[in-house]
Amino acid sequence: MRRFILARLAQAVVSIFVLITVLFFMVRLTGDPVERMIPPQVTEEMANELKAAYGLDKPLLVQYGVFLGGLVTGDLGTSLYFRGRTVGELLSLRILPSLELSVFSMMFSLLIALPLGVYAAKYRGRGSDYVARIFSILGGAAPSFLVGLVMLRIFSVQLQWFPTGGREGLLSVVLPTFTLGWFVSAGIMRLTRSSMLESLYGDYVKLARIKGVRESVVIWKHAFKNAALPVITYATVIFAAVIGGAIVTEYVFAWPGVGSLLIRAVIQRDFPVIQGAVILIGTAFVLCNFLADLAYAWINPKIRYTR
Amino acid sequence: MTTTESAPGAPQAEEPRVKVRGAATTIRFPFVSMVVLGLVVLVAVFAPLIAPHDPEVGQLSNKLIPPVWQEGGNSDFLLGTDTLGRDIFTRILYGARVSLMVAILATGLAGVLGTIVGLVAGFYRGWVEIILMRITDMTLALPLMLMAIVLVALLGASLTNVLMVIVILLWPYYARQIRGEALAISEEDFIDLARVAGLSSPRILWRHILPNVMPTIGVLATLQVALIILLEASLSFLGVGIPPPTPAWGLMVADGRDILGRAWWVSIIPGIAIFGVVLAANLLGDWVRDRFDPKLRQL
Amino acid sequence: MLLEVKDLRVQFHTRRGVVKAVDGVSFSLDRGETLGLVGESGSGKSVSCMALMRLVEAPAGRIVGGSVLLDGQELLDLSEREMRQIRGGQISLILQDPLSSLNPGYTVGNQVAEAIRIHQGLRGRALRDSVVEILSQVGIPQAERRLKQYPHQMSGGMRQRVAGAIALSCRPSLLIADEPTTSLDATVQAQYLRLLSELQQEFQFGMIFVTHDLGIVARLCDRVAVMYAGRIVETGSTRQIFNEPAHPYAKALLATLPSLESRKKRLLTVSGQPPLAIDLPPGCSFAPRCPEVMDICTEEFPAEATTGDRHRVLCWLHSPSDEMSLSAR
Repeated sequence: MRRFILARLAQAVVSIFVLITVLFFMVRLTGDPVERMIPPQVTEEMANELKAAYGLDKPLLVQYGVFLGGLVTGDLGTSLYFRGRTVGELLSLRILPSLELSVFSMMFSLLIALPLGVYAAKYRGRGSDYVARIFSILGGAAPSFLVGLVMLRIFSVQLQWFPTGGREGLLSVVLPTFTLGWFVSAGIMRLTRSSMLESLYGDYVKLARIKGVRESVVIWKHAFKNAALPVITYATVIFAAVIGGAIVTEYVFAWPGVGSLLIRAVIQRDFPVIQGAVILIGTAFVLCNFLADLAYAWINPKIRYTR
Repeated sequence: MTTTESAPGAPQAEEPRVKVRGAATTIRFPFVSMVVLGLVVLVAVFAPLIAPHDPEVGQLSNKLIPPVWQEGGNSDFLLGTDTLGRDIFTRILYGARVSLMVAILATGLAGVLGTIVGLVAGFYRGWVEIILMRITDMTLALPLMLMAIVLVALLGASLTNVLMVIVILLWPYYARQIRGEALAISEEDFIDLARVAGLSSPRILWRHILPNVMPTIGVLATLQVALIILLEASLSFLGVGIPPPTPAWGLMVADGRDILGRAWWVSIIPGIAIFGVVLAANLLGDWVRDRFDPKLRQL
Repeated sequence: MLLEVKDLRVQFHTRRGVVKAVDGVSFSLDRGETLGLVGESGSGKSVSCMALMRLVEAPAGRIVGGSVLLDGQELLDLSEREMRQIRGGQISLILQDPLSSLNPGYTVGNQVAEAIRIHQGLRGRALRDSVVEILSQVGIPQAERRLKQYPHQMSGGMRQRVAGAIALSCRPSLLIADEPTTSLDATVQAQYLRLLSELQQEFQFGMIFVTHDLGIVARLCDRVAVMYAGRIVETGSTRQIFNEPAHPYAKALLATLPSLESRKKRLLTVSGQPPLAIDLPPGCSFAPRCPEVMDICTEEFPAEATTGDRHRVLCWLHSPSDEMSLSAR
């Protein structure tokens, strides 16, 4: 178990390092950030001044060193668009809203997808199975921006139950949570259903019934625990879906999160911000996967009890 | 549907242990999906013949006409017009071209690239395999959407770049799968036989291994079409995909985003087009997978 | 009489039609007695056993008729709630595969404790003691220490002992063992069978032992029931069946036994395929494979004939001719 955790931790650290490095060189090698953002009429002299101000005139490896050094001290550089504001400052304002949306959506989708997947498997081929499958097929095919816009049109514009965007008050979180949550739960439900089908027909479930265990306990204690393992192995896919969906959802609902900041930075060609946002999201992704690995090890005694 | 597998004849009735994985083989042929997709292909091919208006130029005097069934609708513009007075029906037709082109080209290119990598890695082994598979696994571990946005941001938004980015991100799915199969096939006796017969390695790959992995390639390709259409539409919607004025469906949805209250049709109608095509492609993909390659179920 | 099964019928509804997996099975069992249930796979042995516990896979499978009396109580009339009290309490079942029948996600202690908690309502210290006691009884050394172990940390033999402990933890009056030794190797198998007989001596439960290993039957069982295509075609004492088998199928099964005397290995098999229970021929189901088949066999189902004390057979060879007209009715 200890060795397993350490190995996964090392793997996570390496992943983050690789991500940062690849990102740094990709940004530098695909063109000069300053030249890409400044208008052509600016004189070369001014451009050079700008480059010097951002340290872009130095050799690439030196820049890389400075960049890494900055990262260690929490300095992600300065925004090119919002002059004088550091990337760290811009990001820090947006972490909480993003976290809020992701956590709410994750909770919502687990709350919906797990029971739905379990009962769809239990009543395979009957009414509730069809409802669950339609829910998941639609959720997998409807682009979240369409779901978001339809929600906005009906509940915000027409019925005026919810604000049309932004993050003010508890009501504003409802539509984004539903939009992102549905998208994510479609996948989780599918996985839960198929892995429940497998464990429901397992001999240990039969044995539980033979022991005289109540059906609800059979399902949730005996079948579900083992069905959860394969679902957790797909955590990476699920987290990737949350990230992708969150970026789109934040953009649709003008939610002041890291995702919408990233899109704005891309459109404004604000490379330090893009870099910072990607590093932040990437690190969060790697950390979540690490936590999922821990959860897997914790649930799975086969890993827990090997050194 | 449920009862069927429980006891297929008496021998299994002894242990009604259900072949759960096989359960999905009972999915019916997705007839409606085929019709929808066929229609989209036809529409894309013949867009210039069917389309009543110009897809990229409109008259401002015609702006925001509602669809024909709504009050104020005009039979000249079946599905209404957008803020620039362009006919939405026409743009949907041309948009099908964009979506299909991206889907077909990206699927094809990613398939070719991934298959080559997979074959080479699975057949030659050694350090070639290690390096190629490391790259494959690393790419597979990345969050797709995030990477697509970053790459388009770096390369610049254009149709070619969107295509390139999708290919860069999707080839590893083929490589991973094909490598496994190439590995298994190259252990088979008939490959040894071919070697003994003096066939060169590239020739063995081409003549003996490739034909055997073709079904897998086909299944993967069908499964990816929906994903690619969705990805392209999302990128275009976010403004980091295909640039205006090209009539890409995602872009059209974005056009109507701010006038949702006044003119819902500008966004929602192209959105429904995306939804319909992705749904049809998904259902077809599921069917193809279950029918031809049930071992890919987890994808 | 501990258990009396009369005309038990189980059907599975499939797309291809109705499968009569168990088609009118009757037998009885005393306390302390062991009944061997033998037959090819697919003959309905396991389904019959699960049906005794009313655990036929719904909605496909259904018990459609018959009667199961346990200590004079009709099990088929009980509510699901009452039935749960019977399962694991009065009737227990040991499944075939110890590897898959224990839940990989819970400790052995937890899994043994579950049945005791449900049926005897024990908690805490008393529960723990009771678990340790039963684990020692099935011959698990250092039971105390094993409580916290997971199934994957134990050997196959140990796991099957745990399965036995779970089955016997509530002192059932009837134990069904569904080929519990097929996945064990020979020495472990012998130990396990000895353990079962010892425990039966001690607790005096009735046992139904499902197997297709006639060697085990000879050693372990008092009486034998031979199943074919959902029916018990012959039943009698072990001695009767082994010495004077009446049904051609039973004879064929016994012929497959490798005997020490014969120099050549007579590993015969019963030729032909068992029929699909979905389209059974009108007459005797065994007729297509029967070496002694007669015209009547393919036309009508034979009536039950008694050839000795509690020795009964379903075969035209033994049906008295005057009964022929009776059954043709």
